[in-house]
Amino acid sequence: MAGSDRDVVVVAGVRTPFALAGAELSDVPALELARIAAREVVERSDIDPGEVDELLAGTVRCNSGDAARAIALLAKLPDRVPALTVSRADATGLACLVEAALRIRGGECETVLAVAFDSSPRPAAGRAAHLSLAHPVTGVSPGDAAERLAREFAIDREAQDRFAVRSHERAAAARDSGALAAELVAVPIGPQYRAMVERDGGVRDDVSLDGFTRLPPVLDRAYGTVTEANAAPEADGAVAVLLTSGRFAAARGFPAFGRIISWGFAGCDPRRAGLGPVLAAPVALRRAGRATLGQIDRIEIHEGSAAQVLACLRAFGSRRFAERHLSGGPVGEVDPGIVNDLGGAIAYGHPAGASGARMVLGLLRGLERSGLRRGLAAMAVDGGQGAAMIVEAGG
Amino acid sequence: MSERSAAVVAKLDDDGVLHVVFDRPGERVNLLSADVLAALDGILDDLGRRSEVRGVLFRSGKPGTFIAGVDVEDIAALDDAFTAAEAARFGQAVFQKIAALQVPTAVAIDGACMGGGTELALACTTRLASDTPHTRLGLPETRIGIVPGFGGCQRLPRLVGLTAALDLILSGRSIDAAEALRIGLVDVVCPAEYLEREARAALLRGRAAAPGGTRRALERVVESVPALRRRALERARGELAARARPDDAYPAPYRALEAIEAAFTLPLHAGLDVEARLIGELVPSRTAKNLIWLFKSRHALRRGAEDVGARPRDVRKLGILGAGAVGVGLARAAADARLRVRLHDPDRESLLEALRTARAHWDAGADRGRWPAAEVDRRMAWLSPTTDLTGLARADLVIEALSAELDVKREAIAEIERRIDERAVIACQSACLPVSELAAGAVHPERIVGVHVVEPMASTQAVEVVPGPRTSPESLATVIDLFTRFGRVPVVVRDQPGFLVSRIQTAYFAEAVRLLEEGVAVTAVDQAATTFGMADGPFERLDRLGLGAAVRVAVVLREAFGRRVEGLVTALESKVASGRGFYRWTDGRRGKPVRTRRTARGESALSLESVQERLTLTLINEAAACLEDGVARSARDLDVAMILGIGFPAFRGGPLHEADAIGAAVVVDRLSRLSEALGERYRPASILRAMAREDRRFHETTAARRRMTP
Repeated sequence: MAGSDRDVVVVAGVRTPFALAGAELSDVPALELARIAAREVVERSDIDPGEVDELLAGTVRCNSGDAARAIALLAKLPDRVPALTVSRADATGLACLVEAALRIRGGECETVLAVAFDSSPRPAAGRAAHLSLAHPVTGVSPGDAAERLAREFAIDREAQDRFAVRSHERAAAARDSGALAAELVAVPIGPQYRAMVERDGGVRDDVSLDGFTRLPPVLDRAYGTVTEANAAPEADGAVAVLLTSGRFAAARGFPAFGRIISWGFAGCDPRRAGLGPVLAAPVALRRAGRATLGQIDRIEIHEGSAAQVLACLRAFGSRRFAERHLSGGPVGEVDPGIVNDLGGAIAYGHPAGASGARMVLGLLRGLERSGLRRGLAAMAVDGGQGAAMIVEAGG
Repeated sequence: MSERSAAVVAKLDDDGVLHVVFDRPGERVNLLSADVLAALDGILDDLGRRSEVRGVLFRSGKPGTFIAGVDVEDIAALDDAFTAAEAARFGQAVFQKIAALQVPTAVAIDGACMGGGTELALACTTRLASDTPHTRLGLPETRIGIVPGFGGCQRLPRLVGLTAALDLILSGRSIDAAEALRIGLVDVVCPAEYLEREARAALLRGRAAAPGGTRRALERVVESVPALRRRALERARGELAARARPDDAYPAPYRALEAIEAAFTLPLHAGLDVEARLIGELVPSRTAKNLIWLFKSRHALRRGAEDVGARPRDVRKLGILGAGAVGVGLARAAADARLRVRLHDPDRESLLEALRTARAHWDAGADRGRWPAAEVDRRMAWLSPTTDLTGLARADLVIEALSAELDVKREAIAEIERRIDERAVIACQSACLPVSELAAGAVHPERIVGVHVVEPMASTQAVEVVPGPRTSPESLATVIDLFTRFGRVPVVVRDQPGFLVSRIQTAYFAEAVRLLEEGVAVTAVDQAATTFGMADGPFERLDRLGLGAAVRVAVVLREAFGRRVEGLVTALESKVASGRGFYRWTDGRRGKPVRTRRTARGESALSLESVQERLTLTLINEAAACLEDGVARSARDLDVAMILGIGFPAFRGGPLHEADAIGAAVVVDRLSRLSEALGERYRPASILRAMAREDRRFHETTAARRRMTP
């Protein structure tokens, strides 16, 4: 399979540190974050920028003014490289990689530079702010959906807070072990250039279950469980991934560090949008040569909220859920120990356009480091969708 | 129906517009050489007999360039006042014929329009310019020590007014089409593609498209009231003097004032006479000869890559190691030249400082209106800073400017070699370390070239380019070509410790320190140097270069040249230890000298002239020794490097021109006397003694250099 032109190889990936909205990166324009990541992946991969066939940019909030083409020009790709901006709400980062993979698998492109990024204004805190995130058509806010899953899957407040603490602990451990160094590029803060942002700003060392427990629920003061701490905050950041065909990588001698095997998307009940991963994962597994969940070594589930991830973990193994929503049996039991090894969006924050690409990058590095092979990345999308991708470490 | 000459052709079109097209065969630019002027004269004479001509359009047959000016070779060949004035009168007469034509005339300017080109345009009824950035108009004559002599000093003030004319002629700066339109120098600005169409339309309409001259009423009052006009001229004279150019060294702008004044006090023919007289006076002068020589030499050196005999590699991506002053300066130049730059420094703070410096520079340009503010981000985006050594594999050329230490540089070269493409070139920046040593352990010494980007970069233009014993011609050509693209003047020098610039400069610094030890004050030494015309004094320069850097260079040269620089090393080391320079500095501005026990008195019997003589003779003697040792390929290269590298006064044409002016015999005599009184170090270089014996000069005379034209 290696070296085949239908093989989609991840040659290199780089990201800026993620910073909570309104924090360290708030003075850096989104396009500048994207430019830095895009340029850096070109530099580190040592690809001839003239060999990039297309640039794809994924963003939710920053697509005014033709983002993709702007990034291509700012990153000093040759004029003739075309560019497309893609968007699939929270799963934009994954969708961007999928669009790239489609072009390579279809033979349309040999190399695609995918840049997933976003930047948000400083969010207003509290109930009103959460409600303002309600989907324009369904009217369901992420908090609503998370509370519903918490009730239906009986996930109590403590379980959610424990999961949130774990996210920070894992992310801090990953940072301290140096596991993230290879994927990060520092961002100089212009135009004064007095500082460089080198670390993820949302990851905290001082978290404790006690501290999280004391926080009030955001939506429902009496019975609610979802807080500012056990759901993903908005964030700024950019991820750039260089993908090529297997043939191209082999011809140029690129040391590929991963392959994209398959992917799948699925729609679901907007009121239970958080379960999207459980519906999309079977699609991706089926397309990966009828693989089973048991053959997956590591799983990344986007942490929209702790309640939502924990609900997914239960739904993956649930016969009742499978009977109601899937055509076959349950997807399979998930060992929580293999989920979100580097922590997730609860700690890093969630730049809506970028998170999916960060997860895939982290997944591939984690597999490589542990000598493991297969990984699954899955995300829920507000409005009721799931997205999933199966990757393999190495060329 | 057409008349042909080598470089200018007249063709009549169907509407009766005569196109006079300048197109020097086989050359990139058009020049108003003597033969072109003569041919133009013939066309104009013939025009009087052609009643079918309804208008005349002057344009270039070369897209993107109009007329770059008069051929400097022609000016350089004028040896006496009479022939120079006559040459000016001939040009004036030709342009006077244009101005006197009964039919309307128009000029279509696309590209450089300089000197004589602008003067031709001024003689026309209508001037049109393309709106592209490469269209530049100007009268740069004062920069080569003369004045506009084909009517420019008369017609420009009449057209655009006193203030604008003073600005353009005295500074010699060029302006773009938009500014030319604003001051009324051109009447129409349009896309290059429509220039000819618009010019023909203007001619067929019969009159100028719009009345030239957009001056305000106040300006006209200033021009017409003698007292106000005199005051304006006095102010301009005061501003010239404030720029600290002694008018005996650079008289041209001061003389241009006279010619411009004539535009308001005398009728045109008398004003033209003043111009011709000034040309006669200035062209044969030493200053003009040397400035013209410098102009030609720079151009020749900027074509230096062609002389190497190999094709330069097309550099599209540059790696720079070291974000110090040189690293940033080069990164900025590369971004200006639209090259992708990977800028490495192990230290994050240095990278931030580099980004700050670059941004401040481009911001300043935006503030001065040189480019739109949005351009600053686009320039910044060419730079990719990094603390690791990734991103070099695609670089066509990597410049190592990390450190001054030999070991560090060798290690860096080894690291670069492991990472770059086999055909990429490595340029190693050093003020003094021989390439043979830097490249000693290299796997591919053929691709390693030494460079010495002379600091401070803001006030120097010279770059010493040093081929090592095994450097390939392609590598050498690539480096020369790149620095030429960066607007620098590359001078190829021989691979010896200190090369040319540091060696001569160190001898000069050493002499300055000796004067200090003899009790001459810091300011007195510096003043002697600046009075001579040096860009700055030796102690101010040492401070600006950084004493640490100067010590390192001096130490390397001590190994090579021995005791001559011993005193300098000691003095600089004690300065470095004291943590202070020769002057106090606040925000980059020089203050009072730092007082020390040794220099507290500053009492010395030495006169300014004696100090000056010792500094000058030291420079000349070391320069002669360098030429003798073959460090520079020629007297030309050496003198250019001294002017553009250490700030030797341009009007003197460099130390070897200065020696020629004094006379080798006199130089040898003075050196010998100093040698007897003060020691061996003044012993005249043997090449000087030989030249004194044989009555020869370092530079051939103009007469001998004069080109034979058919």
